Amino acid sequence: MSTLIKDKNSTDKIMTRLLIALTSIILFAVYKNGIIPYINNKIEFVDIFYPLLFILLPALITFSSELVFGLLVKKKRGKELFEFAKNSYAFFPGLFLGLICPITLPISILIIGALAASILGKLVYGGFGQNIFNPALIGYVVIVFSYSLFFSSNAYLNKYEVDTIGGSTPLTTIKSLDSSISYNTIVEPYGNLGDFFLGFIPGSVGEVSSVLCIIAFIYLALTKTIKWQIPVFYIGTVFVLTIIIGIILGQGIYYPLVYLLSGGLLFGAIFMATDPVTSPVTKPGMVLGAIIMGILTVFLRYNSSFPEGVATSILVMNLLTFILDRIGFNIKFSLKKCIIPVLILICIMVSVVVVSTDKFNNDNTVDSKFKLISKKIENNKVIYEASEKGYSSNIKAIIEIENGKITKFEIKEHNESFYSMVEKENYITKLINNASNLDEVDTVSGATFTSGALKKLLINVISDYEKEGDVVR
Amino acid sequence: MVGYKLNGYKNLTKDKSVVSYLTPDKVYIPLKNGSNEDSTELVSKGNHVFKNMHIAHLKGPLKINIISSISGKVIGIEEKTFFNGQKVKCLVIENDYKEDIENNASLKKNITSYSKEEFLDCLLDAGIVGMGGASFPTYIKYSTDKKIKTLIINAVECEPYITTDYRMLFDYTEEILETIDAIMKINKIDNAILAIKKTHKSLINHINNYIGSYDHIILKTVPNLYPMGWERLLIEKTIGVEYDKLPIEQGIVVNNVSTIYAIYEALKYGKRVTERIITFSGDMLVEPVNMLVKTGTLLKDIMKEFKFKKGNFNIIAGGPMMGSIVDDDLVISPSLNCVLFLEKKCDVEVTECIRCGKCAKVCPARLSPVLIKDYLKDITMLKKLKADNCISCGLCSYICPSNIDVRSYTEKARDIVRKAG
Ligand code: SF4
Ligand code: SF4
Repeated sequence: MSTLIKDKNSTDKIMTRLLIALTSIILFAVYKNGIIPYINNKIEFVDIFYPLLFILLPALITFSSELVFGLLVKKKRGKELFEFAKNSYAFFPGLFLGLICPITLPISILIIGALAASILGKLVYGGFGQNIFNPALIGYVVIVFSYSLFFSSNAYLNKYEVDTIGGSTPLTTIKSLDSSISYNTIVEPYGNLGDFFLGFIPGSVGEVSSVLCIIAFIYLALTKTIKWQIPVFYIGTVFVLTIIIGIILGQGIYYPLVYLLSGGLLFGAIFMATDPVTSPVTKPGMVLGAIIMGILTVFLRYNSSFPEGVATSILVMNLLTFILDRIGFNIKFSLKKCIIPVLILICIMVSVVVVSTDKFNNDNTVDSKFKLISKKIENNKVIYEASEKGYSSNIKAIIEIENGKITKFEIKEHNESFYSMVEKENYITKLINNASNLDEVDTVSGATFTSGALKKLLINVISDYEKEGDVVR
Repeated sequence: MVGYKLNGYKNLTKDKSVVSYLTPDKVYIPLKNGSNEDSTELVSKGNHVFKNMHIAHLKGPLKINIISSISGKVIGIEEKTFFNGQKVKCLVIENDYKEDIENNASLKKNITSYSKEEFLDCLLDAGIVGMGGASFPTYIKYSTDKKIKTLIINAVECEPYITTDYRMLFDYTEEILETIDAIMKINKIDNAILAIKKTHKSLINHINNYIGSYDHIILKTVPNLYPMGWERLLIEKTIGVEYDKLPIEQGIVVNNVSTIYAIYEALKYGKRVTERIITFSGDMLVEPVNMLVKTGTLLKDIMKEFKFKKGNFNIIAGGPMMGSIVDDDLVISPSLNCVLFLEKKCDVEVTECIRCGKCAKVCPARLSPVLIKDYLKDITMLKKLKADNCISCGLCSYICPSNIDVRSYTEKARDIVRKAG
């Protein structure tokens, strides 16, 4: 016999609260993708409602396919049929799918995605509660594979943003920049960090407004509607890792924030990774799963051609749910059991940071620390004064190039502890002699940073000279 | 943190003075304690019995005496409803309203001057069992060669509605403290802890006025969480000790307040267990009360004293979390502490498990009920999930948003694992 009193939390209430939390996000989607472009005369009046259709249509499709499933397979009729579809949360996969797709996606593709979400994502497993993967993300994957244009960089821009911003989403921008990253190149094209926070940056229909996502999260967590551990540890892991990477790359706090506030991380972590059916049921399982997603997201963002990484990470977590719960229930019995998984995760974290920052260190062609101090042109000669960060100081040098030949490379100022080693190797002469093929010149072991800096200095000066070559000639 | 905060409904009864109903026409003394039904009757139909008399024995390792709660004539044996909802064989005695008492000779003036043997004999003689619901014979807890280091008095009453121990502790503070002190002297116990819910502020203040003269009895407060009164959790919370199977392994004995008071009456007056205080509460009762009633009283008779609100109701023997639905044929037994009359709601709709993990979060035994439910057919997995540790607290069923009776699965799994050994 069941207990004779019951907690107030019911599936109905959970559903209602999710809808309440999503309402502001849907309204914002309409505002950003409908009203703003309309005010700026980019679209017709009726198009204001297009974002709403874009979100609700797939929801309707997933709901109706559940109805058909209930009718044909589960043999439900009438009110019972409706209750069945409702209690299967059949509305949500479509709703989420609409929210995570870019507004430029053709409706026909979206419909295919919604059908896939319902059928491949849920019904083939035998219906609600049996599925392994998040249904909305299955729909998303199908769309990605059937419509590769999806990933073209400006697919995420609505009609207004195409004209005002051009380019692409922040994360695609970061990736294309490689190592010339700075606040000016990453954040400024989109306004300021406030725009990131409020959601006035390009992205999919519903997932860009960080502030609304955070409010929704607080509401859902306080009402005990979602597994709050998952977003906290997921987002926390991404934040910590990008802070570390940011520090290694010498970037400010804006850097991890950009990673946090873009690419649908908040929306994915709060609404999709917490899908109850496909996420772990034990607390330690949730935390481990969340940390794995965080690591994976960072890894994918730095090392793959999918700059967002959230969808893939969630699907991987879905796949691991079974194992995570097995580890999870053992940790519940004895905390000692968490030592090995935690150690493994820490190792993976370290390697991800190393792998992700390594690229930037090996990259000598462009450099953010290079500073051109002055440039004088005298007849056929260009005299550069420039500086570059070495190991413990800024190295300042005068470089003269005459008719494409380096005629002078003189260090004016430095405070490098290992400079003597560079001198001993005659490194500067080596650089001058191999000016046409600098990539081949190895750095001086024992003074890698100092020699590397000299090399970078020369590379940058030469590339500037080549750009201006015509003037000189 | 293990445990869950439930709405207590304690204010319905906790500040009301105890009423009594001691004049049933007949009593039906159940020949059963816990699961022990192996009875030998000492009287037969037509015999006259005194109040306080041994009228039957239950045999076996958990042997216990069955006591008559009135004087009168034995008129036969009938089946009535036990607090677990099952039928139980009862000796029926017709009341002669004389309250003739069989005298008990071996009384001592000072309750501390019993020897340990005399103390154990007295508990067995008086038929004292765990009166918080466990019905475990109390003398067994003390008959150990092990040194008893700590006595914990469980006054937590973590289930909603129940306030019998609260009332007892308020009304008989001195007697209870005196008894604890005596038990400690007789059994050479070093210290005692009286565990009360943090939220019972006025009770705590009240006790602090008395406890000063007993410097080895310590009052400890515990959080207002369910199931804080569960021995394992209580011991962990109050003295930070864990044990494997029984608290005595660590030299700990746990008794609840009503049990202590029963010990007091036995030591002081030679009274055996013939009556007890029971909380009658619930949303369908006009005047919820704590009432002193005789063991063996039929609920039907007591209900004549109550006014009910309009509508259908369920009768629950025990608290709302662990109790069972019973009929009005219920007989009062020594370990029953509460009878509830709760509105019968239209059947709640049970929906598919959404795997929200809430059941795994609340389980005080650190089980994962949702996984146990998944693996109900897989014994090796059930063993790994330690399904045999379920204490039937019901929190998983309480919390489940899909209205699934999760406990029925975990109990089934527990029985499967226990049977498999
Ligand atoms: S509380 Fe109920 S719905 Fe949630 S996981 Fe447990 S059994 Fe499933
Ligand atoms: S009834 Fe059993 S499984 Fe359910 S919460 Fe209580 S101890 Fe855990």
